[in-house]
Amino acid sequence: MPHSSPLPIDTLDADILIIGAGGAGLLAALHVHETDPKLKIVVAVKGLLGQSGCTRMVQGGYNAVLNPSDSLERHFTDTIKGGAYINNQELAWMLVAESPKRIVELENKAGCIFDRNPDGTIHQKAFAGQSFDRTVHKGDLTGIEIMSNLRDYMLETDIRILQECRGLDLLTNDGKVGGALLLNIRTGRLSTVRAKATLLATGGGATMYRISSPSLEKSGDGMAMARRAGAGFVDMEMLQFHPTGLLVGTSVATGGLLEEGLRGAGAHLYNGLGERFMERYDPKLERATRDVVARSSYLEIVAGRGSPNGGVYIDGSHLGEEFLLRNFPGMVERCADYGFDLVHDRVEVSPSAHFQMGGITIDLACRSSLDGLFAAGEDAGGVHGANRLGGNGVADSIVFGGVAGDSMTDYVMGRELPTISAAQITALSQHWTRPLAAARGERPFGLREELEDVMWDRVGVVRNGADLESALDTLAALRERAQQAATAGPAASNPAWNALMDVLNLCDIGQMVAQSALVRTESRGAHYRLDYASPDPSWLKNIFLTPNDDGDLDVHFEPVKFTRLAPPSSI
Amino acid sequence: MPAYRNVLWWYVQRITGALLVVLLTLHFWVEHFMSKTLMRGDLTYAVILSRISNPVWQAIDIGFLLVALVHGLNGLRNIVLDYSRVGPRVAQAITVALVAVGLVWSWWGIEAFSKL
Amino acid sequence: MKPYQVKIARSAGNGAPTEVGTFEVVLEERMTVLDALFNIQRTQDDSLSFRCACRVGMCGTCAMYINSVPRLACKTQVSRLNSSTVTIGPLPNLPVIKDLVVSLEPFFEQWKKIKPALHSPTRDSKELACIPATSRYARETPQKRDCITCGICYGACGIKSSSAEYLGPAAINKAFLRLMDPRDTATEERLEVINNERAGVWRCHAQFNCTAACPKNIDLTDTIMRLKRAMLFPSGLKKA
Repeated sequence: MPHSSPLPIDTLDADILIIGAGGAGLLAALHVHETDPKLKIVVAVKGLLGQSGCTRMVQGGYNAVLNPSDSLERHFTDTIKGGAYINNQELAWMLVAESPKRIVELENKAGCIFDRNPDGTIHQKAFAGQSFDRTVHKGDLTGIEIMSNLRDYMLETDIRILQECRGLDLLTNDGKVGGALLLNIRTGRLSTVRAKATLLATGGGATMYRISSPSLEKSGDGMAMARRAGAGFVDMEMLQFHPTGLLVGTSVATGGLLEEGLRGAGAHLYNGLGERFMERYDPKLERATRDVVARSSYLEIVAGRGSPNGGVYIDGSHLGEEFLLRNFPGMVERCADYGFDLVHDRVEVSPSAHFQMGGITIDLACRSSLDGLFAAGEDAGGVHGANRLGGNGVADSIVFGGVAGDSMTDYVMGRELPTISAAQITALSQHWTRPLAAARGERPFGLREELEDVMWDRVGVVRNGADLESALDTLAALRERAQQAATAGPAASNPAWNALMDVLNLCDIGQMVAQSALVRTESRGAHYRLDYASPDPSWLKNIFLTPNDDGDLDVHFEPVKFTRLAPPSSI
Repeated sequence: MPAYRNVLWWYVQRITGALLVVLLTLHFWVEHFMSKTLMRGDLTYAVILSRISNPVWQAIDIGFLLVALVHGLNGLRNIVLDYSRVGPRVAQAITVALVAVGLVWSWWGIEAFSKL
Repeated sequence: MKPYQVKIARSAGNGAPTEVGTFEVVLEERMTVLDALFNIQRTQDDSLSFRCACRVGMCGTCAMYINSVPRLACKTQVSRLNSSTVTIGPLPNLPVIKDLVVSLEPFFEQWKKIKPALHSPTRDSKELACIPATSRYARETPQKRDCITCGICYGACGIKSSSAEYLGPAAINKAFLRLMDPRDTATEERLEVINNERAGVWRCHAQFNCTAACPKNIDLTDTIMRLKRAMLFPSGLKKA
């Protein structure tokens, strides 16, 4: 048995451990470093620094109130309306209120420059579901500007970056989190990082769906680790489908997005019969919020009115070649990469699993329910309610990354390094390295495909109780099989082993999504139930899941606190 | 902000390159095609001597020599610098050697005119 | 659905490729080289290692040497290679970690030398800098700022193949952007680095390999030539 003993384990101590290095993780690191450069920060990133995660993939932009004719109240109202009134209003207010300040930080401290007006002020463009043009951007590839500059900031600090290093599990002692067990994907070495505060900022698990938009390395590791450590979750049923993911056959490019700004600028959607079907669903047509457009497209497709490859068409050709090339060069190029002509033709698109509004329950200081554990960005829930506005996602990561950085800086002040349990480390390393020694068992790639199919078909854009129940059974069985799977081989650069860990994490999250979706017997925002097809005012509640000692989830509800804006009586 | 020394060498290489096009063309034309004596076939030592005794031709020839040496030797040095497997100290030694070669050849060429 | 023969340079550990693996893959019409690699990994050899994150040309991690040209696997449609054989190797000029995975450490060591971060006296200001859309920075830099640090220019550069010290096109491009940045003041430190005769702009002989290979269509040779010309009167770089 070549791998019967656990791998060598490196140990590292830090004041603050940040797992994930997208917008949220790096903003947290920046805030900690700016406040107290002496604090020892360790950042673990699953891919390359600045080149993994979804902030990098942001196309359209970042919502912030900068124009005197706009107001925080308007942005807040748009966000709450978009979220179908179940947002945590204090978190949403923090998003809106901090967002303009963070734009200034991104430019003046991190070095970004966003597109400008002729008078030298920032240019803001139109996005769906918003009452004002407030989306800050750099062309149609905003994420590259943000992440490249944040990376360059990090490179000139002494912040310790562990590249191609994934989080496996949190280290806990008496319900308190004291760091994490990590795996270096390239060297195959495990390491324990003992830290006074740990931030989860890995991004969500929308990649558990057959058609999805996020970066492929994402597998909701943060949420899965938090669940296994016992942290509480909120509104996990709320998972957003972006209306316009590319359809490129069985290519991994399928699900990659055409940005929302296209619809904002007036692009049309057509079904397979050539009808502008949004006329049937919403007076705002293609500029309706993402949940409405995605669901409408899906309903057209399942009603047999889809395109030949099971999608609908986006058409921007009437906007003119010059306009498209000037404003959406990245989208034109992306289509051309796969042989589509966005300038002159309709392009086949499909709803694509995009973003988890639900996530780890946090307070206004990004603290989770576990002492020592913080969450920010997509890992955390509550900010966006039942649906996220385009342009609020990167704003969320940047704002709450900063909040988490500040709050962790305060938290670690005067604290000692926590004690960690050697027994737990041994048990965890044995658990995670088991598949390396397993001679016989299923391979992970088929399991991943099955998982994506279950989620898409039964926990997808349109749901119903019976499907959700059967999905829960299937997910439990899948998880069981994944626990027995085998990926024999070296620990260093073992793609199958890593794929298996992704499946296990996504099973943990998928189950939370399905369970929460089964509980919410109404339709609201991104959550649509055929068997309860309309919103129910008695469901102006948040659904909380708490893992119990058996590994199951305890469910409870709380009415939404309308601290700033009450819903109209019709909702 | 001052200009950098290296930029001067970069420009020198470009200017000498342009000058070489002119001087080399002139050189070929004069030596091989233009001379009436050459075309008649009665090229003699006296004919050559009379031309290179002319101070204008002397200036052109010496200029040509210097421009060609600067361009060629600096070009060689650039090739050496393109290969960083040649360490900085070796590169510097090569530079010194190239400068020495340039000085010797310049002296050799210019000195030839003094014997006329 | 067309069958392709895919030849992949394999290596077990640190260093150069040691053997070539040959695979048969059947691909749909629009499939990319990245799809071919995933297909092989999932159905034929799950030890095949390569990097990929965004899969739509934004992260820059799937750079490799495809039919003798450095390219992004996700942006290379197999059918457009006009060959029934696809030969894939790791990105040149960088050490191989495993199969198609290279270490980008040398690339970022050069990148760090030019001080990529913003050095600005207004870093604590609460106001945004006034940069008119008509200014030189706003007009001339947007495409050059699309750099995704994929390392393709570094792998394509002829000088880089003979010089360990040369900064390489991407780092010089980043230096150019900061030098043009109206807020940045670390001009002299950066000029010092790019003026180095063994590592800086003077090593570029305008072979245009970087420009030809850049997946974001950045004219890197233009950047380098502009810097060379600017070195005579460096203060002109900041002129609006």
